[in-house]
Amino acid sequence: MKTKSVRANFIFLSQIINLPVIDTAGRKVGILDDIIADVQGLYPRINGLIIRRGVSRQRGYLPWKCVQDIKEDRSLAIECSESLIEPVKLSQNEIKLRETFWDKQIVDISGSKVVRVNDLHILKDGIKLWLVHMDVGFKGFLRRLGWLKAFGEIVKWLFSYELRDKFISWKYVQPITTAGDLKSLSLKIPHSKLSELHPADLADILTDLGAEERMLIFNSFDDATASDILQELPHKMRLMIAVSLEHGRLARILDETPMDEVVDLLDGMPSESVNELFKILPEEKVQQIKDLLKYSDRIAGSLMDTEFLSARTDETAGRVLRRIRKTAEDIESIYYIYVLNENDVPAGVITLKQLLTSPAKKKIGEVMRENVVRVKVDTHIKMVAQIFYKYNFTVVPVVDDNDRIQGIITMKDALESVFSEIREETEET
Amino acid sequence: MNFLKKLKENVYLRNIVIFLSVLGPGIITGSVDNDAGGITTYSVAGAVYGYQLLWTLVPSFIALLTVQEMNARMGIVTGKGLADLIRENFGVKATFYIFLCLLIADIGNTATEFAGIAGSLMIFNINKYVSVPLSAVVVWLLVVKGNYKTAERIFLVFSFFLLSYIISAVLAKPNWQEVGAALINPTFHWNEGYLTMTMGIVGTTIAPWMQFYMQSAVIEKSIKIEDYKYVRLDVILGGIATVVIAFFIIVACASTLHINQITINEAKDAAVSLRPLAGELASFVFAFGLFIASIFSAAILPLATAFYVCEGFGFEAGLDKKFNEAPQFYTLFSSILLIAVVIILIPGAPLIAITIWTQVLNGILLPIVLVCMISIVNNKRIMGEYINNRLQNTVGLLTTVLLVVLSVILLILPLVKIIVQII
Repeated sequence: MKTKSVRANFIFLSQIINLPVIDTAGRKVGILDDIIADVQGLYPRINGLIIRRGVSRQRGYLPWKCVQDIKEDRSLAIECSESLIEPVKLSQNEIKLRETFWDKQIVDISGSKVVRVNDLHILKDGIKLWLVHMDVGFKGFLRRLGWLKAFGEIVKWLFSYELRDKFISWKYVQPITTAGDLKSLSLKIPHSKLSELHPADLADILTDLGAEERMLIFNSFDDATASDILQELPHKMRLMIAVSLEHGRLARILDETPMDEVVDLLDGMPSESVNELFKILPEEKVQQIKDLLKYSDRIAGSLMDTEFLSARTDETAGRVLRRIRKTAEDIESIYYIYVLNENDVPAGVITLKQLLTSPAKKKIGEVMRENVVRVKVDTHIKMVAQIFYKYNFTVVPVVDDNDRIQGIITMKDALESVFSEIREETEET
Repeated sequence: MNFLKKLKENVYLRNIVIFLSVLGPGIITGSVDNDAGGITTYSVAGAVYGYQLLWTLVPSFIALLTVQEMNARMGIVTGKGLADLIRENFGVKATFYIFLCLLIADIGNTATEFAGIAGSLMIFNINKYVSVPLSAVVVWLLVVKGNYKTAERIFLVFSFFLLSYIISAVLAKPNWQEVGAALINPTFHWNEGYLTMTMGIVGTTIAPWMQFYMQSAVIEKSIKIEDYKYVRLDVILGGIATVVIAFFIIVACASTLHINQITINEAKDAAVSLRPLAGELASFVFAFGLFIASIFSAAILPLATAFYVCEGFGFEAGLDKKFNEAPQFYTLFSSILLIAVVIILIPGAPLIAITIWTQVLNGILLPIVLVCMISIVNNKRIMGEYINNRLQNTVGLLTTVLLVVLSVILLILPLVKIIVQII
């Protein structure tokens, strides 16, 4: 038995969209309006088409199996009768390729940035089609304009330069459009691909998106990731997202966020929303936030983080290490452990390095360094920055008027506060 | 500390603080609006037709507010630039041809700005072969190597100098009674010159590229929809700034040049002619205003154009990117500047023809951009509950239709003349 020789090649969506659809009798049934793909496989397989008919431009659906021949740039032959044409309805895992991707933005996971799709690169095997690449290059743009041949020749003749394709493999494509009935798109194609990216990159991507897409993608992340991204966003955008989040969700995200950042955010929010949040957040957290909100933003108290590691002089190194292992998850800065006396006054400090290199039985009091440099809650932030400059610390403890420890300040937070202009400028660019 | 707390609790003070923080896009757009092209149009209108055309500022103002308000609303609701929205809703082809026209028109516009720089500095006896290349280099360095945000703020402060036109107008001692009457009593003349001038005033007040500029300026501010009412106020202030300056330029030229029957072709001529009529000071003030307006727009126009073209075509764009990250963006920006400078410096270049053709392109583009905008802003899928109300649609459509009708009449009038001559 002779098998038909299989000729696999690539075509572009622009080569088949708007082609006349011809039935077996040679009559024109309509115009190819869109193609439908199942996104479940490794590469989306095309399994349906939408045709546009008559002056009313009414849309109708046909299964892909009735396609007999694809002559790109010319026509699409199908075997069908009028009765086969159904109203357009997508099943669970299907999307319309033209509507979803053409001229729309996607996230290119490999380059971690937002790009605009010019054309779709499709693998063609007989009449079977798979979507394999997104064309995001200038060549695709020219092809869509219908100027590729002319322009390509001119460039080749003038500069002996061959225009090259710029493709992104489907593996690295994260669709983000939300237009119309694509609201459910995120259910069909989970945003899991995005989770490979660093929160700072994700924040950059979110900044580049439209408002609706931004919220949709932001909402697809778990609370911890959402908190990380929120901290990386420019202040104004952070507020914009926070106010449009549902209170319960925002409270869960804030629960994952370091205290100083929480305070920073709540400070800019309308008081009604803050009151709502206080009702949901755990009580002791609310108390801490309220205490911190009291401080003016020019003094140390406004920068401090109330979660830090502490120990007592009579504890052993091993015991403290075990405790750190249990609690470190929720604490931003774990390198310095402050040794406190019975009144919570810092009596000494020990670094994680010292702790790890000490014998487990050794008492903390014997290893610690006394004379802890500290700042008061009402110390001006400029003074705090000067202390970091003078000493070689990355964290400094904050005490109240009775010398009791209240929190810590990291070098990053201190730097950001004095160079607030620098921070704003970095965010603006 | 106590002060800040009090500030938060006081509703009025708080509203003012929010307003100041969203302030900017409307006012900057309004200031850029009165660029060299605008000042030229207003001066010529005043010199040729006296106070007669003052009334056109009223409908221009209403149209300007409606259009810019739509831009601001689209920007806040979608978070997307106008170029993005046009690309996503009208496809590659429409986007490409709109932006090709926009690019050509803006090269012409930029050339007009440099003509303004050359003309204004000529009043201070600086040769154009010195002033034009020098200002182009300054603009290029400021935008590419300097901090654009700071530059924009400096320009904004400078734009207060545009108020100097009020001084010029007062020094010219206008007949305020006639001014008031002309403002509320529209006069029509069915001749080509008058209609061209009318369209010129509307067209220069609502330039197509401004819509793109306004929308991205709003997005950059990350404004929440709750604060939208303040943005509307910003738009109104910007519109008032535009129209007030235009009003005083027309008054200044009408009460001096028109009365003495001096015709002018350029804004520079107005400054020159003011000297014997209203004194040296009035002339210098006029020229200085023209210089500030021109250099401000000469910086913003090429930058904005490069930005929208890249946005629409899907190239990387932005001053925060390096040259090899966004080559098309920097190439476009530099080329627009360079071409504009070369046009101005060619001896005997047909400057007036360039100005007129640029205006014509602007006139053709504007209704197209407006139609796209009205279609997008009425799309429930994009705008949700923030689509246009009936009044906004009426004013928007009326503006579009009037502009189309005016363009068609202007195209037909010369044809009719030719036919009449043949008969």
